[in-house]
Amino acid sequence: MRAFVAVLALASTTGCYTLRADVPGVMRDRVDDAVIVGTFDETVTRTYFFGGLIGPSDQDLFRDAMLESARAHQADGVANLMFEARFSPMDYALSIGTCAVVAPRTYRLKGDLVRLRGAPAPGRPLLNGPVVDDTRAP
Amino acid sequence: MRSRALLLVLCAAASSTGCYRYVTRLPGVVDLRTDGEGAERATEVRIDPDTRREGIAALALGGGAELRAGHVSVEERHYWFLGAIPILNTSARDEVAAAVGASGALRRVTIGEEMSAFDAFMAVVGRLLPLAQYVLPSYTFSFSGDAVMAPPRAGSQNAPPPIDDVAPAPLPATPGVDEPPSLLDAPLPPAGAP
Repeated sequence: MRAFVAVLALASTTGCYTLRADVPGVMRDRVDDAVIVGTFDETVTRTYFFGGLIGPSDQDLFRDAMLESARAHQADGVANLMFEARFSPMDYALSIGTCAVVAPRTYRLKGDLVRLRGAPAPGRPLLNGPVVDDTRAP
Repeated sequence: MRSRALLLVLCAAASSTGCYRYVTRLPGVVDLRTDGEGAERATEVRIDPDTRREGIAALALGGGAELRAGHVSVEERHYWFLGAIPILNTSARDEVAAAVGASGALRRVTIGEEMSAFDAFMAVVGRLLPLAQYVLPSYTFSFSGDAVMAPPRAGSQNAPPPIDDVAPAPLPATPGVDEPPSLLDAPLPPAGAP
């Protein structure tokens, strides 16, 4: 009973399966003359514990992959983003098999890599690093 | 017999797409050239009031798009029937569009999802209500960012000079991208454009 109350109290303060993922760069409502040069598609499974109460706190879930994909395709941005969260069959099997002690959830972010024209917003450049070989590229 | 058939359909749906699956499109374009930290904070920020919820609707479906001191946020609560079929608030597209369009540009954007404290509370308490047990627990999608002045678009008279004089290189032929994308929001250049 004490454990149940403790779990309920923890859930009521922190929530479960908490994900906060940073999106690098500047999100704009629309741009002119964007040219699609590739696709970005990243799927990540995050492992939570105790029914999602405890999980990783990293916020760079998609950041590095997005920047690496953009560099590999010589793109400047990502358009038509789609976010997906789900329990895959494997997540569910693992969760049931461990009585939710291990409880993964799968997240996916996909979009079209685009080359942009026009001035960027003032700030530190993000794409000036070395070009990374992106094996995920089609 | 009918309930067994329904169970089979739900199991088939869950095994093919996953359980508690939430998909939303995010309008706008992420400009990865800079982090936007040097951009001025937007002075004129407005959010479509139709995308904001109050009272019971905010509790049930999330607060929608909200603006607070130049920081825009979106909170969307979504539900499934038996964890397999999305039934309420299935997309945050309109609310995210309102948030991004508030000033035309956002920096420090985060996206996320969680079973919030309210979701967890309702998952326990709501099961006492008839039928509620079939649509709980709910999850909450979130989106946030700081509104900044949108950089001028290409061709605008207020556009600053280009950052370099190098003509853009011809686009590499990328397999699979010549097909018209189904989710295309960004306009394609006219034929013959570099």
